[in-house]
Amino acid sequence: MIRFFTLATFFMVCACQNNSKSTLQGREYQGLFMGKQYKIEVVGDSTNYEKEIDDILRGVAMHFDLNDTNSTIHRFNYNKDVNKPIDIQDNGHYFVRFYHKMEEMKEWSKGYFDPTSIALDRVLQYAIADPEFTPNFEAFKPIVGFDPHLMELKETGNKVQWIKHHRDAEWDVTDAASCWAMDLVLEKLKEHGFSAIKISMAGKYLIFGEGPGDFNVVPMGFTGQMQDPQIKLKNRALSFKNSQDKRTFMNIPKSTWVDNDFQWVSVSAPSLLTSEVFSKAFMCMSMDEVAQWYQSNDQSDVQSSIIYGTKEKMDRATTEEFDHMIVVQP
Amino acid sequence: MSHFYTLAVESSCDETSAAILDHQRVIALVTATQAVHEQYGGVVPELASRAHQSNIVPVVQAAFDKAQLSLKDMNLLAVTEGPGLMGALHVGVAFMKSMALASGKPLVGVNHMKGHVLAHCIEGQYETPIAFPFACLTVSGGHTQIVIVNSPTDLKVVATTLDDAAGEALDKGAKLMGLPYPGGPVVDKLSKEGNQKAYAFATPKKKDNDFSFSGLKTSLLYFLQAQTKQDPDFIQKNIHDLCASYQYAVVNYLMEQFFRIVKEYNVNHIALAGGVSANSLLRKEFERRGAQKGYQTFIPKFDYCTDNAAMIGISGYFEFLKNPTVQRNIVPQPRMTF
Repeated sequence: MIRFFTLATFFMVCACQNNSKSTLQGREYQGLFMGKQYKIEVVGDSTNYEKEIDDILRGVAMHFDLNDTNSTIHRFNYNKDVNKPIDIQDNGHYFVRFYHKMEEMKEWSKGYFDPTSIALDRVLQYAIADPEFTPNFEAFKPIVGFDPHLMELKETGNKVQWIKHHRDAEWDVTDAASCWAMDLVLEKLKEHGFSAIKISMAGKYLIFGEGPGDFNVVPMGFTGQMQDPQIKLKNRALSFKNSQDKRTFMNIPKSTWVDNDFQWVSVSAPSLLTSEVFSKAFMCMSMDEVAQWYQSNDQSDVQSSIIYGTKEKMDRATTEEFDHMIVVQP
Repeated sequence: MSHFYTLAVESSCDETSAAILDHQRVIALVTATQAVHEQYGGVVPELASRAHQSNIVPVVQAAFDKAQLSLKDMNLLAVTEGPGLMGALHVGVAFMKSMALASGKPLVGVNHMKGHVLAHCIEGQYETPIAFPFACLTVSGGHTQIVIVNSPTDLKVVATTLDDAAGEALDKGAKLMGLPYPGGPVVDKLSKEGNQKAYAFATPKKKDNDFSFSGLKTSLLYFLQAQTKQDPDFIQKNIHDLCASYQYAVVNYLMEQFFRIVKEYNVNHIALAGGVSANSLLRKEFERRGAQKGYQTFIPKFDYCTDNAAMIGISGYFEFLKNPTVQRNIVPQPRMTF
């Protein structure tokens, strides 16, 4: 599939929308997962699948929830013993599968997404409030960079071990792991033959099938409200990052601040994890790098729309397929 | 060196606090208290961690603004290493480790309980500074300790609690009486209009050098159960006397144990520390009985009684003077001991 990267002059327009919504025959599940509110709506069956959902969420959280002091990630982050393996109970293979997903995502995003960047992220969160402070990025090089020099996964039969090679190596995958968990939930629910499933979590969406009314139409994320420009998702996910988010992002491959004029990056892909990873990765790239990424990944189904420029004049760069999904234009 | 600036961060429980000190003098202290826990009747660890994550940058920045200084001016960074809630400690430790790495400044990990004791060494609180050695009674929601302080880096715990802490006993007692969280201050407030001798509650008669509050709490429970069987409105009708009597039982037991144990040590100065030292009866009794027995008493100002970063700053400063080696191997230690 050949992808076209188009540029169009962008004018912000507030759209009005009739909010009438059909009554759904199905069920809603709501909760808090790794600090994020989620809602799952299913159409076509009102059987309660709460236990199945909770089992998946628990399986992911037990490895990747930073606030769970028994989680694998917590044990890893605070393991003082360099080169000493941590044994992992990975009955559902959640840990190993996600670890390999992270390797794949880091590679695919050309290093712009990296689960080891947390120490830098924290400093940037402070540095944006203190213009006199320029962090010494060089000092972070030994502890940022998801590759075997920093940490390793050892899989021997059923035995899984995680080894850190630098005392200060850390992982924070809260956003990515929560998105992946929702991908797993969707896959599980699909097995029950629902005609449509919609998962929303902290302004991100994942939709399977086609539901009644405006079930498949979601805001594109300017404000998170339905007055936003809207997009219709079918068997796809949507995630976005704005200029506020960008302030705490780092150009990891170059070890510098992010230097672009992107105001908003929205990514739609078949999975929520991919959408999440590339909304962050693209936000950290230059426009040339985004274009280059598309040139070298022309078979991918990662659709994006980037609003860039200044308040006075903003433009939009978008993939053709993304444009086709928009139902209320920006 | 004319100035020696320390940035300190405390995040062991439900207060996110940052302080800037110049040697032993506090020049800025900013503390964000988490109100989110009130509806749950106690601190919820996960909510505490997330609130710390939101608060930590604004609180540190506010402390710098107040001090009219910035990170580049700092000579030392200090952070609470433990004891406390793992997730809450994690936020402060991880943040300060990253700051130390990014700025090249030395970082010192501090024991929260030592911090409470050494808060007395913050300059400008007392007309006559506290002198070593001194004995400190530390009473908080999580701890009850008597510490003999021979120097800023030579502290010895000589008594501790075997079960509940004094603050916990007050909070749990308040809960039994149907009062809102945090119960200790509510009990203190309601006690002011009550008779502290109205009811008597059992306190341990142990002569060993430890505290125990679980029996006192059980005594209140059984008493309330018996009384409410006869009159379901007993608590509401007698809430002031109940609070005053229960609070008196806790404070009287603390005082009797403290003064009995402390007389075995050669100290002239005695001090009170920890969140429960804000309790009005405890402050009054500590001063009254201390003066009666010939001690000079020290009670820190309210800001330094509750969890705060100034106490972490002063402790970190002393630690650094003793051992100016750059520490990078700091990890949260929920059960950290002295």
